[in-house]
Amino acid sequence: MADFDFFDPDFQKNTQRHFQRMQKECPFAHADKPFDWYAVTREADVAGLLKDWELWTSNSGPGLAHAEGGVLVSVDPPEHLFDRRLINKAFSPAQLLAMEDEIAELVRNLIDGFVQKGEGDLMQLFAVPVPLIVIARLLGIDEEVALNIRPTAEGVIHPSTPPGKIPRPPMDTPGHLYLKGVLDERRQKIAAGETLPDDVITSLITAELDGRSLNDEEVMGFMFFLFIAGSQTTTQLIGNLIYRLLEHPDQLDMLKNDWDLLPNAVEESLRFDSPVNGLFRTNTRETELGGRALQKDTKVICMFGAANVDPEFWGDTAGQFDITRPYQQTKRHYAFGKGIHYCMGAPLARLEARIAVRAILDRLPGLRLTGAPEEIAAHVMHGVDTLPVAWNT
Amino acid sequence: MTRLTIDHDKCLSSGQCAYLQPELFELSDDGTPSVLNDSPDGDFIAKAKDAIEMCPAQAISLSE
Repeated sequence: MADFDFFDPDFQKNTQRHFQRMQKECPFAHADKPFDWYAVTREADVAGLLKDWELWTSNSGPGLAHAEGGVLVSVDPPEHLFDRRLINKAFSPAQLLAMEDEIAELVRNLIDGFVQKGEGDLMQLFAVPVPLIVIARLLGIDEEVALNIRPTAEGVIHPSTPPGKIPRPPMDTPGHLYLKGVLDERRQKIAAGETLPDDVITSLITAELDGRSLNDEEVMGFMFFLFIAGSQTTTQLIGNLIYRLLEHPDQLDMLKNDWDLLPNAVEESLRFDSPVNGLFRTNTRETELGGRALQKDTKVICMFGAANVDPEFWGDTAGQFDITRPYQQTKRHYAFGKGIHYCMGAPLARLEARIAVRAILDRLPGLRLTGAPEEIAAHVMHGVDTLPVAWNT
Repeated sequence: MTRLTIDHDKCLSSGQCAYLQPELFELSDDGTPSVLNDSPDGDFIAKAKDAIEMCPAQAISLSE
């Protein structure tokens, strides 16, 4: 008998309630679809697993599948340190924060394009394109193509995941094929001695660290991962924050009267509606978890979203959305993970969310929900997939 | 003499400093970092700068 069903639609609807029930009734929860796996939900247990990366490896991939090979989120040291150093420069916080004016202009232009409509789905109009275009520019891929490909994290936890080790999935999706084309073009430019644009593709193909450089497959792996990690997550952050503010008009008013609360509102959204519910780790040897013996290579998900609403850690108000929660407390959330795999794009996500949400609230007066949003169907992700709204024109 | 410090109000406990430069930083059990060598010199200056550059909270600084 399983303790919870991640594929139950109610899980996405009432995620915080489900997490708090699991913390109380089954802190080491067992799921049996499509095979046996476990979930840790208490803050102390999530912290413990993330810290002990030698026992709880990422080498089998961050998803439910026992995948082999990969970059960044799918490897531990020493490879992880190599990967991280390769893109350090492009993802250094100072570099990302320098994109502020460019992001503000992009946001302005996007809003100009739909402000006269007076109503629409704010996810499709706004929360989806902003992060996609930003990450496309950062990586060096075509914006129109990026908007059409729109990669998703659906595969991370999928009901049809096969048990046991699986070979790396074929890189033949339209997104992969497009990236391969970009890569080939760059290689030709290098061969012809032409100047290369200053973007992440160039950094990746020209990078050399300790005499090692990346082959095409590795560059593609990086690109695709950064493309997904840099878009859908931030789309959720922007959408989730706007949704909660519309759901709590008193807090929306408070924010509009005191924009100094904005960074805290972003952190509270990350805490309360962690865009990524959690990611998996896999034990490298037999171990015990919550009094249960686990064989080597068991998949256990660290529920970031659950750690974020654990009353043991946050107190009795853990299950409430409150942008006035003190920043020194709010900032301790797990939405970006913790430890060696802490999200490299965190400064960019925060920046995009602040600019995007401020602009929407400034430029769409009388913004209100016109229906109930639908929840996203990709199980690793959490939040709204549609945001039907209207505003005064 | 240079001085390496962490601004704990800004710190987000990501743990990146101790991961990237374990000779200069360590983490307590609750993930709070501390500086192991607050007056780095020689090669350690470059290492400190690496940690400063990569801190997602921009909470580390090196002053003269």
